[in-house]
This record gives sequence, C-alpha cells and structure tokens, in this order.
Amino acid sequence: MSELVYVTVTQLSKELKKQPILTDINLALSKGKIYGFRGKNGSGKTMLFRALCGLIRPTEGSVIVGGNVLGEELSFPPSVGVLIEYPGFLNGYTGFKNLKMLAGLNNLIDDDRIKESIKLVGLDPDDKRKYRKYSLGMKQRLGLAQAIMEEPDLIILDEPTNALDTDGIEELKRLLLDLKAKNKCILIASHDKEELDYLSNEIFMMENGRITDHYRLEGDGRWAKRKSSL
Amino acid sequence: MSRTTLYKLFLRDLNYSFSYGKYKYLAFYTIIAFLALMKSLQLRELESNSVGTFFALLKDEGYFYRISDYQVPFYWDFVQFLLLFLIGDFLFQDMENNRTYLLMRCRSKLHYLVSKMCWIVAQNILMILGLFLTIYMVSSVVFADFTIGASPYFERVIETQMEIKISSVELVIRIFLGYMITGILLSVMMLMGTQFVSPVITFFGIIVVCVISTFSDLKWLPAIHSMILKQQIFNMEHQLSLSFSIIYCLSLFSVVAVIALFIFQKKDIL
Repeated sequence: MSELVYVTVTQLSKELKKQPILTDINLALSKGKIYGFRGKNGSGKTMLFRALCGLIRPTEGSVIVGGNVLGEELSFPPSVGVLIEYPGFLNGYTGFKNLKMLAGLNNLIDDDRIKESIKLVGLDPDDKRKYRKYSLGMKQRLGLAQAIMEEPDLIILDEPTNALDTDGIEELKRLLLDLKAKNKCILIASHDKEELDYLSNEIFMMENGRITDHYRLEGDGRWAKRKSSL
Repeated sequence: MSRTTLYKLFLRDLNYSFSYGKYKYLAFYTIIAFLALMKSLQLRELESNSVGTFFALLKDEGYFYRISDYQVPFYWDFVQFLLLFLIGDFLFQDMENNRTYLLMRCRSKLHYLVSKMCWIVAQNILMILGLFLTIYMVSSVVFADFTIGASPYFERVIETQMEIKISSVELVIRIFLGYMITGILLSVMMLMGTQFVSPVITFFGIIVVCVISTFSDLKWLPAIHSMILKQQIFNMEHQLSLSFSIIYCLSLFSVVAVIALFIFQKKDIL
C-alpha cells in the first residue's frame, strides 16, 4: 500500500464576502487511509471538501491532488468521487439508468461496473422502480454508488450515513473498509463520533473554519493527538 | 473542446429537462391550447384562419404616444413570462442540484456552461416550435382550414395595419423569429444574472426588462424584438427591422455568453 501523500493542502484559507470560511488549513492525506472530519454545522467541513474538489478557489494557500495544483494545473482533481448533498437524480428513471447517464459523461466504466456499484451499496441493480419511489435511505445509497462507481482514487463523502438505517450504516462501513484496502484515499465528514472512530485512521476536528485538533490512530489502537498533519 | 462531452451533456439536459418539467410543459401547452381555442372561436365569424389566431395571441400593443393609450399586452406578457419561467426553472434547479456531480465528471467548467447555453438555445427553439404548433393545430381545427394563406380577416384587419406589406406566411415566420431570438437572449441573460445574484432576483430582473419593453420605444431593449407591432412592417417611424433585431440579439447574446463564461470560470461553486 502506498504511503505517498496523495492530497496536500497548504495554508488554505478562504474568505467569502470578507468573512473567513476556512483558515490556515494544512493537510497531508495518503492513499489507503480513511480520514474523518468532525465538527458542528457551519464548522467548514463541507467548504473544505468543496475546496478539495476544486469547486472553490482558495483565497490563500494551495490544494495539490495527485501532484497537480488545483486551479493552476487542473481545475478539478484527476480522479474523484463525491457525495455532497443529494445528487439531483431523475425521478422518472431507475437507479441504474440514473447512474448510467452520469457515467456516460466520462465513459470510464461499463454497465457491469455500474451494476456492481449498485450492489455494493445494498441496492438491486435490476430494480425497475423509478427513483421517485425510493426511500430516503435508498436515495442516499444511490448517491454513494455514484461516488464510488468510477473507482476514483479520492473519495469525498459528506455525511454519508444520513438517512441510512443501522444495516445500511454497517454495510457502508464494510464498503469503506474494502475501498481503503483497495488503496483509495477516503475523506468522510460526520457528526457521529463512534462511526468516525471506527473507520478512520486520522480524525480532524473542525471549528469556525479551522482544524482545532488532529488525532491519529496508533498501532496499539489508541488515539494520539497530533500537533499538525504536515 | 471535446464535442463528445458537449454532446453528452446536451443529451443529458434534453432527458433531464423533459423528465423534470414534463407536467409543467403539459400545463403550459394546455393553457395555450385553451387560449388558442377561445381566440379562434372569436375569430371564426370574421373569416380568419390560423394566421389570425397567431397574430391575435402573440402580438403586443405597439407603440403609444400618450400614457392614457397604454394597454397591457396581456397575451404577450403571459407567453413571454411563462416561457422564461419554464426555461429558467429547469436551468436554475439543475445548476443548483447537479453541477457538482457533472463538473466532477466532465472536468471542465467551459464544457459545462457551453452545453448549458446550447441547451438554452435548443430549449427555446423547441418550446416556441411547440407553442406555434399548438396554436396552429387548435386554430386550424376550429377554422376547419389548415392553410396559412391570406384569409379575408388577414386582408381586412391585419394587412391594413401594415406599413410594409408582407404575406401571411412571412408574418408568421417573423413572429416566430422574434419570439425565438428574444427568448434565447433573455434566457442567456438569466444565466448570466445567476452568476451575480439569486435566481429569483434574476428572474424578476428579466421580467422587469420585459415590462419596460411594453411601454418603451427603445430598440436596445431585448424583449422589444418579439413585439411584432413594434417592427418596421407595422411602424416605419421607429425603424425596427427584423435584420436589426436578429443582428442585435445575436451580438448581445455573444457578449452576454462570453461574460457568463468568464464569470463562471472564476466563480466559486458553493
């Protein structure tokens, strides 16, 4: 498993309408690990994820993904799967047809892989029900399937357990651990401490757009507080 | 620029727009069919054909010289506002909900926005074609006449208002082109507006531009180009020709599109 840093965030700050949204964020994230981000609503987790996706430009600092500086060498990360809020799937399409339409934009995967992704999140790829008939939990699962279906190197999930039942959460945990074993760099934002403790190799606590604490899981299973991730 | 990506984004917009808005489109065309039916019934005794209904439903109130002469062009307002609402509604919600997922896959803001502009153009053409087809079908059935030649009503009522005589077919084509170029221009202005302010404010801003056009004689106002009675054929004084309208709308469309692209490239996607 590669220990090379895949995502480097250096002194990232972002202001919107002269209000600081993110302040002096430094991260070094590797493949084959899960990174948890915890904090209250409005603490900056989603904004940080948006910056990592290239959706917002830093006021200061830089984001480097796979050796490319976002906003300079590349607009968006070279291989990324994202779940930030619900994707606007088509109500009149089945889950499979919705994913097929999205996958058709970059043509990286075939139908079999789309079906496999749907199975991985616990849905039936041959389900003929339209998306409008899906429960909230099923919608969330389909959102997860779209994030992982192209087997991206970087997976960014904002509150992925929202609307999932207990079984769904357990399945998600297994899925994320499998993806970690496949050398993916996985970032999860969640309010749930237990869930993050179980899954993560490192946890970043966020407050007011800053990383206030950084913990790393040591070999003996204890969480050790770190000064900085860089 | 990858044509394949643009084509796929465009096809997605086509599918998504139909799936998202089919009941709204159905409601719109049902209302138009009802208005066409009522107007055609009124004109039936006046020996009209579908050209009379096109003219009566889609015309404005022309220029006025005293404020007391001002009349609200009800049908023009209604059609123009509803078309803009339907186009804007899809545009705004799609960009709000889906752009993150599309941008991560097409990986180009330029591709994404150009495809949106292509869709805006196509959607305007399709919706206005649908509008004309609905009016044509309903009115032709009412008149039991499927021709669009010069009816007695056209010769007596419409042609006599013209300062430059044109055929009934040319009149219909001019009304169609006016609505199309205006719709495309106003839609891309909505797209640009959302780069600065909220969709609701943008929509109302465009509506205000349309309303001003109903009582102004300034040919620089975008919505004035879909007003057939303000065109040169009905009023020589203001020299608003179809060629000017097309060149002006296309030029302004290009400028607005470039500004929208430039801003979108620089803008944060929140």
